[in-house]
Amino acid sequence: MKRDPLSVWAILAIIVTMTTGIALSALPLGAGPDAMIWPNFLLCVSFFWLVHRPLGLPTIAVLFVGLMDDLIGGGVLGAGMLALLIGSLIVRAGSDSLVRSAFGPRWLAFAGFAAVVFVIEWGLTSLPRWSPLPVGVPFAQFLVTVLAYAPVSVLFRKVLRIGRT
Amino acid sequence: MAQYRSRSGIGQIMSRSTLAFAVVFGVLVYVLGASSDPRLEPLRRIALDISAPITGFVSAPFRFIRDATSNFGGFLDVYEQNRTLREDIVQLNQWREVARRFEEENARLRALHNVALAPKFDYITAQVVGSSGGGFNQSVTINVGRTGSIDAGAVALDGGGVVGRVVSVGQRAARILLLTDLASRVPVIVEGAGKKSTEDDGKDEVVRAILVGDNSGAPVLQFATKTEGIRPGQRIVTSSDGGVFPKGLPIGEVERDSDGFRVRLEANFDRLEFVRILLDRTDRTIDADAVLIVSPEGTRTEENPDRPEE
Repeated sequence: MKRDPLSVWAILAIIVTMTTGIALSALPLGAGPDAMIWPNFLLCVSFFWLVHRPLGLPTIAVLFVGLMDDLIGGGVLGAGMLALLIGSLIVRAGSDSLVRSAFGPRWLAFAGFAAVVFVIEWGLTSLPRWSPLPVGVPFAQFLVTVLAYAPVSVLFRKVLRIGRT
Repeated sequence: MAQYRSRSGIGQIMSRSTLAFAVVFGVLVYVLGASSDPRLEPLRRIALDISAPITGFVSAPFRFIRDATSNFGGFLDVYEQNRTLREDIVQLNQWREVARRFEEENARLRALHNVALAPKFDYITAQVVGSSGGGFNQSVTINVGRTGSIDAGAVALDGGGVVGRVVSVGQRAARILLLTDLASRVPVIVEGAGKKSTEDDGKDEVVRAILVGDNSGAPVLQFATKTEGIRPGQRIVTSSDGGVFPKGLPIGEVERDSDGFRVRLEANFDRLEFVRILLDRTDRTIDADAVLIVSPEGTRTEENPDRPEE
């Protein structure tokens, strides 16, 4: 499939939205056990660009973004990065058909992508402790992240005039 | 991988080598990260310094909305709050007198017993500008770092009690690992759980334990030196075991769990906007004219006559 060429604006939009995605994921909305369950906006933004502008988010960029998110989040370094990398490879494999599909199947694909990333990160975070992490909060975050993809996608389509519903 | 398949020759080789590099790099970072390799610490510091102002800026509108909502709620019951505050002032004035008397009595007793005072602590207040955000770990970022004299290991408190400890320090930001995080282990004392002394030495039995975070709101009390005397409602304070926490900082209260004991924390994580970081101001410099009490040969030598006897 012929890809849209990457304009300077598209590159700028990718950088700004990815940075905002990381920053929004680290908002201090409560802390610890009382923290508000907040979507992982980085996953929403990454998926959107991987589907609509895969050349704008090359593997090295995914690696860098994942590393920054891990560094800022303070978890096991590399766990989120590897999870995002594996998830991005799966999305790339299907991006040609996803970009042509209707919004419903694309949303479903995002749910699958988010599930893969959450499960891998959960596993990689549990591994050094030799005990499984509680799944309650990560599962709740997965659900709100899946819900958040719809408004994020619509907002991007309207503001950046990219993609279709 | 349609994108990779559509390329040919050099492009395909480049894509595959990039992918291989990414996977190897990712695994390497993960292995180092999982083993908490100190070589990654400078990276964490740089990321803290870069991210703290950005998250602070991005979170400003959210904080404004939250504060405005809270203030509006407070405005609606201002009359009730005013009445409660007046009552509190009366009670606090009584407590101030009691505290003053205790302070005087304490000073007299210290003088009588020639007590060596505990290390001196000061504190600095910092704003919480970021949170770990995910469900996998529980930490917060504050907007004070080395410039505020904070070191790794410093204790963080809110108005109620201990919140956690500083694990990573940048130039202008630091990260606090919360007591509730899975990686958190804090040596504590269960007050009132040990037997009272029946002898003249006045030394009561001290029950020590480890407070283990498990990502829930009430960390688990484990490895208690004695469990018979532990009851719900008893106070949990830090112990100085391991030298990380000063002794006696409030943590919470014991509550019973089906598997054992948990601790209901004093700190209010829901409204964690500011924290106090304890700064150790203990003078650890050794006097130039100090002499060894025990010589290398094992014989006792004369102490520095300038030093007061303890």
